[in-house]
Amino acid sequence: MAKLAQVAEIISQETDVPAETIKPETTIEDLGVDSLEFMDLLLVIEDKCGQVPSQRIAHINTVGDLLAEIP
Amino acid sequence: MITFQVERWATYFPEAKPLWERHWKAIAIDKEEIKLNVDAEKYAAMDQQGVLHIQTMRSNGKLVGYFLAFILPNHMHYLGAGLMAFTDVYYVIPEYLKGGNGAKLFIEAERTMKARGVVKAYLSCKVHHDHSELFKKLGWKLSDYAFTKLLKG
Repeated sequence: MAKLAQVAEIISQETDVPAETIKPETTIEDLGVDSLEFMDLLLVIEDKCGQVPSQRIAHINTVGDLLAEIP
Repeated sequence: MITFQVERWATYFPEAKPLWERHWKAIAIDKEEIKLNVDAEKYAAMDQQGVLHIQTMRSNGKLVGYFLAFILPNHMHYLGAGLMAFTDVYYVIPEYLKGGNGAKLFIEAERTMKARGVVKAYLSCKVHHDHSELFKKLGWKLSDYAFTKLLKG
């Protein structure tokens, strides 16, 4: 849950989506990001939480998927 | 659910054909002078020869995006350097661009071409559909400017 809170806070800062509304089942589409914003978001998360394996990035459809890929 | 996979021409193109039309209408230049007329047989032959890379994006099984590249086994300038990929065409239905799906398509195309043995890939975009910031973010290096000129008429 601590990891979710940390990632939700980062996402909120990058997207203006309120952190408390971000759940594991929230989709990346729900965040309203385009490709450039998605890459920016990913870079910030990797910077703060660790590298997401490149072969897994395309399979990240939800915040829960993202959490599962963070070391 | 969005999925990414490598496909063969025979399964890809029948479904992709209307998307190519939509794609052409959306981004092609010189449309009055040069009409879209895909040589499907030539593509099929190239696929059979192993020189075509087709990365697709599907939403619950429906084709919503694609990336195609020609794979050159022996670049005439760089014999022995390994496979080189020259991007032919890429497109995502605009409604499916949300959530970083465009970036994911390029990431998967790069990953699967690398897995195939490609050592260098070339990619471009239209000036009026400029994706250069995204490409840089994905690690691509700006190396060329391309120009076109109509010589007929």
